[in-house]
Amino acid sequence: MTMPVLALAATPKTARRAVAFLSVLGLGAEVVSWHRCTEGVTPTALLATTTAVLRGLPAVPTAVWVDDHASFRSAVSQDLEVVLSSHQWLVDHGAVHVPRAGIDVARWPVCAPPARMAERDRLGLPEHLVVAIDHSRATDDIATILAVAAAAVVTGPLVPLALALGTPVVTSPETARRLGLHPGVEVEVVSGRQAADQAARELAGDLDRAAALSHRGRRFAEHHLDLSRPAAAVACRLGLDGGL
Amino acid sequence: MNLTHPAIDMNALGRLRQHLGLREPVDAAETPSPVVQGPLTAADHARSLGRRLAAPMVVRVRAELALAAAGQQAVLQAEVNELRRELVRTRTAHAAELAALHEELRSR
Repeated sequence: MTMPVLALAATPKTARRAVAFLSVLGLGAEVVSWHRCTEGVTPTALLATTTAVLRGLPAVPTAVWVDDHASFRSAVSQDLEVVLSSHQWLVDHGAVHVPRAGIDVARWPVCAPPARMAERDRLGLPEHLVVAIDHSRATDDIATILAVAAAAVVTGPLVPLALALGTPVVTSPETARRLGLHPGVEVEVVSGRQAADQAARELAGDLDRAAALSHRGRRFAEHHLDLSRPAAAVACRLGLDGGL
Repeated sequence: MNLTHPAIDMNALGRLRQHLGLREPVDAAETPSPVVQGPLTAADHARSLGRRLAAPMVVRVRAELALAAAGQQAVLQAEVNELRRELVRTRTAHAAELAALHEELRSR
């Protein structure tokens, strides 16, 4: 059985925004660059990162990202199958919501504090293991550390991963604001590195509070950061739904 | 009661006798050497009874072992399926990274 071909059309500046979503949308498809498509090969569907690249694309089902009313109108006027946006006001007009810091939540099994404690015990790790993560990209090591830590200070792009794993998180006000996280509900929010470390140590020693944050953090990731739901909807409209 | 086992190889029996230094029986050429089983003793009865009593337990143990093996197989199969899914995810993520990279580099 031949796989459908999903091609990415992007400008050099907007290509990066598509990677996370394309990684989920492309499950069950062959993902290629539109400009590297072999001559004569017509993709099954296209994912465009901006309306600026629409000119010259073949007439196949296409999803396009929009960031403002002008690009939204442009996409609508071209009768494209799907319009994507991370802005709520465009979602209200019919765009599919793709979270800016989205993650494939199902890929990361939640690890609640009691299970973390048992795992630390089994691995001979400190009872109140606290870590600080400020990397920009997830690696297997980081995912493992976040899955066993009693609490973690996490800022930047890896906060969604930490939330999906059920890690009790202390983060910065900027990160919390950017993701729409509520202080004391899904995460603890603290300014300054030392204060954040201290807050994480306190959190690690309070199993009930850590469990509550872990549970609510995971639910936040499922409801607000998960890419699989918009990917399933978009795949269906692009005729790619065999793989998802 | 004398019983003769039908699968006895007379040549093999002869070699065995020779090896053990035993004499050939007088009518060895004509008749196969019988396997003699004497009258059943109390120990034989006890062994037979033991086997009969143990039979249901053996069946149950075998069934339990088969069940355990099936369970283990199911766990392993689930693990293989999960690894396959993870492989597909990783492959798609790499393809997405590569596609983005090609789009980024196309103007150069």
